[in-house]
Amino acid sequence: MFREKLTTRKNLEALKHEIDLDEHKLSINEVYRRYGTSPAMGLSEERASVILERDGPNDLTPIRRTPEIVRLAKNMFGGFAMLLWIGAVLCFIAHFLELYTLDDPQYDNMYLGIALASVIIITGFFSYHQQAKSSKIMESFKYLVPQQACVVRHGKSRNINPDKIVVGDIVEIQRGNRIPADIRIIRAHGLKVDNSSLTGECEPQVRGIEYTNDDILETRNLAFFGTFAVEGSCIGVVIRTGDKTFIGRIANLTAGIERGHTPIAVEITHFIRIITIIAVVVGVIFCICSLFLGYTYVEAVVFLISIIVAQVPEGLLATVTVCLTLTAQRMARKNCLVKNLEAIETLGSTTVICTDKTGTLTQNQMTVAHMWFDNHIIDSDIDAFHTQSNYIKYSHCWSALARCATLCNTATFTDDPNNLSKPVLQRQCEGDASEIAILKCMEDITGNVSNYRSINSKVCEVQFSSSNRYQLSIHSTDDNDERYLLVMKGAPEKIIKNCSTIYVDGCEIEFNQFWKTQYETAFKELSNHGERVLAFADYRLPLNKYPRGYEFDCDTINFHVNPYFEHFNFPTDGLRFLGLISLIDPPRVNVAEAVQKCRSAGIRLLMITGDHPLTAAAIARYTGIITDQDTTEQLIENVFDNNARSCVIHGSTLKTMNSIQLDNLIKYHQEIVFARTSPQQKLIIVETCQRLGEIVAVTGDGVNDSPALKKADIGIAMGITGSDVSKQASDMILLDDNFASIITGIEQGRIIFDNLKKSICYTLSSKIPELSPFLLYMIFQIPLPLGTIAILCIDLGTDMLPAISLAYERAESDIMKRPPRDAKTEHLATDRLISMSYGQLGMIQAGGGFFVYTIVMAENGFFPSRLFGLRKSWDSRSINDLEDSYGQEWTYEQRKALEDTCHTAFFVTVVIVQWTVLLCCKSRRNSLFRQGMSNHVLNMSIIFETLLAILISYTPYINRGLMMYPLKLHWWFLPLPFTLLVLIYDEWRKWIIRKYPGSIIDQETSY
Amino acid sequence: MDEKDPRQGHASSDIHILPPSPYTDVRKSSFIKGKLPPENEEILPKNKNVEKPRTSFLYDPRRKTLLGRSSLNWARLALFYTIFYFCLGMFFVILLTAFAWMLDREVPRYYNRDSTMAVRTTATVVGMGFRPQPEIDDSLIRITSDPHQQIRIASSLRLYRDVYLIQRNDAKIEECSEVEPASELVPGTACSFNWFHIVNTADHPCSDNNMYGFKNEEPCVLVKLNKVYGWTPSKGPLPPRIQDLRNIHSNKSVSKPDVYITCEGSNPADKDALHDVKYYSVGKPSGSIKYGIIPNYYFPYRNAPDHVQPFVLVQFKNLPLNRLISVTCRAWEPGMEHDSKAMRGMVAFQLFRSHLIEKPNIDDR
Repeated sequence: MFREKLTTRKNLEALKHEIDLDEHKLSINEVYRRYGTSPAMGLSEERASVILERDGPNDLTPIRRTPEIVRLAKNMFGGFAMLLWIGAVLCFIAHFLELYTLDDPQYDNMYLGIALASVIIITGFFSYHQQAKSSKIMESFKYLVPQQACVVRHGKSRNINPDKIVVGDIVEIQRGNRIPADIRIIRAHGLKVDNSSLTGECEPQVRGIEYTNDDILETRNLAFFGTFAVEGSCIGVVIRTGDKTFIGRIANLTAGIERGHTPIAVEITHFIRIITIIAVVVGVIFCICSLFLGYTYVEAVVFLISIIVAQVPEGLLATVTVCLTLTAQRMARKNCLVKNLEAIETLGSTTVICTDKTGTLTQNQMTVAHMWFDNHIIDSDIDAFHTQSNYIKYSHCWSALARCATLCNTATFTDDPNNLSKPVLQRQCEGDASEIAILKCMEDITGNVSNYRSINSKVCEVQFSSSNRYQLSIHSTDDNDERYLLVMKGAPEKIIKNCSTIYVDGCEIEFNQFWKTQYETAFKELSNHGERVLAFADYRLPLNKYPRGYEFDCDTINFHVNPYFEHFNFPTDGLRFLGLISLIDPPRVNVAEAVQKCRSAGIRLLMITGDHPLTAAAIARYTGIITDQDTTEQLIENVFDNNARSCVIHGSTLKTMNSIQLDNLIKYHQEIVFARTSPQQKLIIVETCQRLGEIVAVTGDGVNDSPALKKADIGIAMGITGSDVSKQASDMILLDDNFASIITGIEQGRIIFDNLKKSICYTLSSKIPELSPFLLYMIFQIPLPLGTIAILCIDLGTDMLPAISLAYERAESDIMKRPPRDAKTEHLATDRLISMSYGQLGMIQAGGGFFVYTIVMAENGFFPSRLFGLRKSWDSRSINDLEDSYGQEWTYEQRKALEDTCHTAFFVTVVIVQWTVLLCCKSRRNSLFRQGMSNHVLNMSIIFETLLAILISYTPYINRGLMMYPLKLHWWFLPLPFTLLVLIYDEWRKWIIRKYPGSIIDQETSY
Repeated sequence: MDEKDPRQGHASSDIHILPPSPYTDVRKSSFIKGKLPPENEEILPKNKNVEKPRTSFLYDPRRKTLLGRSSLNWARLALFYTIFYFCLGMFFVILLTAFAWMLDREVPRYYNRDSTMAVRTTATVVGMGFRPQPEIDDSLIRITSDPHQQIRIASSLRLYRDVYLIQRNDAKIEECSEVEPASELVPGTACSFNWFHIVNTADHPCSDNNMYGFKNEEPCVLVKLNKVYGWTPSKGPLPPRIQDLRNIHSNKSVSKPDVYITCEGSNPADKDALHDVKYYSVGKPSGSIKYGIIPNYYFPYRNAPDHVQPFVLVQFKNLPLNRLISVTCRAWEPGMEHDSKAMRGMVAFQLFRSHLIEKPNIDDR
């Protein structure tokens, strides 16, 4: 344990010294020298194999899988099962004690021991099977497309397996390839990599040969293992392979993190402790009593063990497991796959959700959010468009902007009839994310973009690049204007420089200072929303200078060689400014609602993202994570103001904070957005929350999230976009990637906690009627009223289904409107629950049992007065003529038959009184009449347990095997007064609780 | 750039913005967790306070709580449970009283075939008993030459006789005979039958003077049928064994058969050792060497206060020394079922005759 912790520390430290990577700072030649390679020749085959020998294959060490047998053993010996094992061992000890000391040993203890062991083994296999099932689903996620990597060896490029790549290899990467290792880029052509799995940024990042930033994730000349080249191509030199890669380090760190116990495991431990204390205390008290009553030491020890074992809730382990499994299945149907059964409840007690932005809250798809033209900001929401459609229809400016946006766009829909028949938003597209967004928007509003493009054919184009930051194309138009149309799109500050006029309300007017201010205002407005703003402009090329057929020279070749050199044979300034279109990765449809639900459920939401503070804050506002209307700048300043509710904190600020500052930050701010955070910062945030006693859920999809996912009390990974590493590290997977599914999880988790409580209350209530017969047998020396086999019939037979059926019970009140349970004070099994279950429900049941026992005995001839002190003669095989109250004489066999009849009657009584105990356990506060009887599983279970009791009592052979006897019909009705008493008492109790909250009844009996 | 500005300051301009999200305006403080504590609060010492000693859940001296409850709290709990259990107890007692009020004290609610005495069969199971049985978990009868031992064992039988087998002068009894069987008696009266019907003379081999035969190391063992309310021997042909012993072979159904008692060794070896057995029964107090008889007219048993269960005295003579003999006595009547495991219609006990003063070690039998 300690050692594991130590290695975790070390790993964490290792990650904190974030980088021993300086290749991006070195000149490229130094890099070659360091790895003994050259861009033209690459490594030699021999040298490569030597390095491969040294460094090992370029592969992530698979996460050390727990061997199946260990997993099985964990299920067999964990927590609750251990209690039962101890019980079983005690049983066998008691049995052997009896066997060697008594002339006439009973086999009850042995049966009990065997039953306990079977319960553990069966339940163990069951939960193991459940785990195996969900891990099988996990396996199906593993799609590892065997990709070839193209490397230069011996001056020849060849395809090899990516795991054979070694440091110093020169690799060639094409569009769509996975980067096979961490590389320093030597040469790049319009390369864009999707770093989303590392940083969470959904936009592809431009990569080139320039060293632009100290931070390795930011600098342009590095590309990382596991990311994708979405555009362009490059050549690079491999600088890290396998576990030494950025992703490899995170994966290893993740594997090293040991998670604490789940809240439910803690609760079960707590429960076991209570049960054990009660069992031992009761056992010892009665053991001492038995010594005073003149029993021998051996007998006293056997009694002690029997009393302790009798209080082990044999059926509860199975009940809890089945309840959790049922909930897991219900959640799986709602797209939450639960890997670890115990994690279900964790979500219910979660107090803080640290959520990733990209892909979880947002759709991970750029969409047009707003447009600015005619000095208006217009929401691009389709509905908004329809309400303003007239306005738009007659706006010249809009049509010019739409034309520009449609034409100056290289993205296309994938040409596939199947694809084209889909709704616009779901169509597959090719091209840059923001161009796709604009394309979809235009298709949606104006329709038939491809047709429009074909009739306004493109004559020439200059592609977008990171250096020029604009894109232009020249078209011949279909509007009977002979002049060519130049359309241009790009970063606003770039476009604005090239514009001299602005198009407003159908008039082309001078782009003067007033309009520039207007533009500035709009631009700031939009970018403050975290939106990426693109500007559009066009220009009619004068017909006299650029007649039809004019040969436009875009100087493409020259441009690619030297992007800073622009040499066109047409003007790119003096354009007409059309307007702005802003894009955002919009939040998912129902996220805001989900966030709202979380909040009313008392759960804090922290956003942790690798994205830019502005974007993060904008999304946080959209989704309601931040409800403060202050500007983002103000929110960033709020970090140091403990009275502010919301704040946005930048990763670099976070880096400078010590743990006390961090504690205060999280303690005093309700709404926090962490932007530009690194994986280890995510981990630190989670740790801080946990240190403050919060139960933390973390959602994430990227590799960078995995350490935090693992560290969190419950890690929630995304099923579609999530990386393998993150799925491995998580406890739960949202199959539809939808944050709103978490709400279902929380709801189910809370219900199951409440219902487990009810289930435990129900199961424990039959412990007193099971234990008290033995105590009275011991103290008053009466014939045993309830035998071991009958106890097992109750615990493992009739009580099982009703206890499980409580898992189907609906919530009593709106559980999503109350704060999460306080893990420190609200326990699964409280002393009040035990007091209620043992002291009240159990005692009424025991009363019923003894009542029926007395009557069965009396009706057969033994009055209560005769029973006291009868034990020894009763149990003696040598006495074959024991006299009853009517003078009849009973042989040993007949007495035992009567005793077993009493056991049966007692057992049936418990079953019948349990009817109403079950109904009472349905609700903790509500009246049964309000709670209703709509839980049909529960209704069926009552019928089932009764049928089972009838079956056990009357079926020949079965009753003989279980030492039961057929009962007289009227004995079945004897328990009814007690059944009614339970109902009346409990309804009265709940009425008092509702009517006089805080009264003695409330304080002593509400659990 | 402040977000509010465009809405207020530039109201004149045409820029209008839809609120970014419908939720941002609505909720300001729907949930604020607790109050804000003072700034710069040190957290670490607070954490230390939270870590209580492990035993504090048992007894916390600071808050004076035992198991998390103060004395007042315990008192309240005690009060609650006192009232609760009092009420529950009353409920129990009232129900039981009502039941007791309905219960017949003379006739069992279930008897004979209806009662559990029938075990899993439809026929009544009748067991047997024997005396003396000085220890309740042992069925060994020790025969010694030591007078003290003799007195001890004989007193067990005497005690039983004095309590169960004597009918006082004021007892409600009537003579029973084949003409006036017990079944026709007025309820509450019993047949006239007691110890002295069999041990009718002072020098009877089983008399007090002979210490029930133990004095001469020829013990008399009392063997009886169990009292079973309403049971009478059933009609039918006598069992072949009895026909052999009586030397009257007839499979004719007997309407009111007597009950025959025989005793023999449980195992072949015991049978050989047990060759001299004498039965003293009511019809033949002087003894028979074949069987004992309990006449049919003593049945059925109807819980009469002065009832004495008819019995047979079996005397074992010439017992071998220092040898444990297992004896099985069986009752015979047409419907009697024998089951040696469940002791139906039979009883088993051991005889051990020894002359050693020290207690012989015979525990490993």
